[in-house]
Amino acid sequence: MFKKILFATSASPACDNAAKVSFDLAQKNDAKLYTLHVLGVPSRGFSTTVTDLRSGEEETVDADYRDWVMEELTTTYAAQLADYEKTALELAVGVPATEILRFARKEGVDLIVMGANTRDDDPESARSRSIVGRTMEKVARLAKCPVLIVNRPCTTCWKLFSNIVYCTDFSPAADNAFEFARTTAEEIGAKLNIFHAFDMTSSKMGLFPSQSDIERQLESAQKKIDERYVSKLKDYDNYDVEIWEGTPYVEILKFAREKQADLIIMAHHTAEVPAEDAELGSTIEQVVVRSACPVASVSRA
Amino acid sequence: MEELTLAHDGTLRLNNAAITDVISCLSNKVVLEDGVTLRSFFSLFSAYPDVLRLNLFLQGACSDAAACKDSGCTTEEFTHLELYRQLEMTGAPGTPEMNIHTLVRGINNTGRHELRFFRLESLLDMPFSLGQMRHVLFGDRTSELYCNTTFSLFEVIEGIAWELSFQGGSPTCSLRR
Repeated sequence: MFKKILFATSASPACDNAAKVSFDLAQKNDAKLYTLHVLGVPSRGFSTTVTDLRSGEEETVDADYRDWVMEELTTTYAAQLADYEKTALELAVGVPATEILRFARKEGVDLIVMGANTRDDDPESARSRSIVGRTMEKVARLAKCPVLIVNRPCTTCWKLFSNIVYCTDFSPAADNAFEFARTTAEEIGAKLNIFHAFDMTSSKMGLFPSQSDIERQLESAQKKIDERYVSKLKDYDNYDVEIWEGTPYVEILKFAREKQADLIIMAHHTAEVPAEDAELGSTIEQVVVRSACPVASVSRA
Repeated sequence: MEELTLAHDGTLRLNNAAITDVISCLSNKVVLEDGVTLRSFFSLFSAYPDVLRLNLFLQGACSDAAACKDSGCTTEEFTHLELYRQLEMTGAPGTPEMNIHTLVRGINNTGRHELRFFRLESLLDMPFSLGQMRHVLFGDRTSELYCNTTFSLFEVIEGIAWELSFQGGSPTCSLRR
């Protein structure tokens, strides 16, 4: 399914969970795994010094520093590297999101795997702010391929996926995400849970939907799911459809927890704006930070 | 500010009288009696169901808590749980920003630790305390200052509810390595 996977890492403990998933996934797919670490942002202009992302100290980017970081990376992922040889360790200098996107485009990777944030005390920390890290947000927004965000320890990932939850709001972006969900479920042989949460929080002119409105919406959603998704599953019968009403991210999380989902697949954003201009949707943001399993953000087919 | 006292059994007292209307007391300062645990808050939520409307995840957390054992829900990883406030100021780059978060952490001799990898069945009977405010200034160097502070009932419930929203999910996926 995947031939080239990019694991973007700050090589901090916050990326350990993403590392496990990356190596599992690469092994399962016999894919080439690029482990990319961005050394840091050049301090000024054409300066040869960078602010090290791990230590926060200014470092001169010379052969010694590169060798030292490469050795650190090798030590950090020693166990995984011993298990899987088709791995390339890569270093880059620059703004992390830009360098990750540049590398992904250059190598034509099929999937990017990242943690949601770097550390708890980071001003961009996912946990303290309920929003995802700036690097992850930018990569998910601009990447040409799906981005798998791993925010929790996951012991079963990918090798043993059995329950995939695909969430849709019927936007074109969600339709793209469905293609990824369908092929993933079919290749792995996992159960595909197609889920829609009717947003009860949106009011029009201060009026909230009545019970009959809700039932009409749920019926219409069922019809859309049958037309857009179920019809494309053809012979694949290991699927289920559920439609709940409420606050979308809460319902998605509740549903995923009830189904003991291994993977949640969502569109990166839902509003009809170009992917380059779209912020990471607030629903997926909330799902990413609270989900017990990895979340795949798909911005393009 | 009038002090509300939260007892071990989850009841709230104002001037030594039990309160009935919890909404009108949300802005009152909270004091915890000795022996208050996370379970005391679940007793509070069932005694005053109105507070469940403050957070979308509280009802689910109450169901999870109800499924746990009646006692002995502790972990040796922490000495106690602490609710504290974090005030963060970020200057450059970008527009200066200040944010205040109310957080719950597990405390042991190595510091504060996140609770999301621990399930309710190992937290419910842990002693619970109200901590200080951590004032963090992010700049070239991060500086921090700890100050004494007080918490309103709303802040305590919201802080706990926030933390609980990260609970749940497959136990297999939540296993710590």
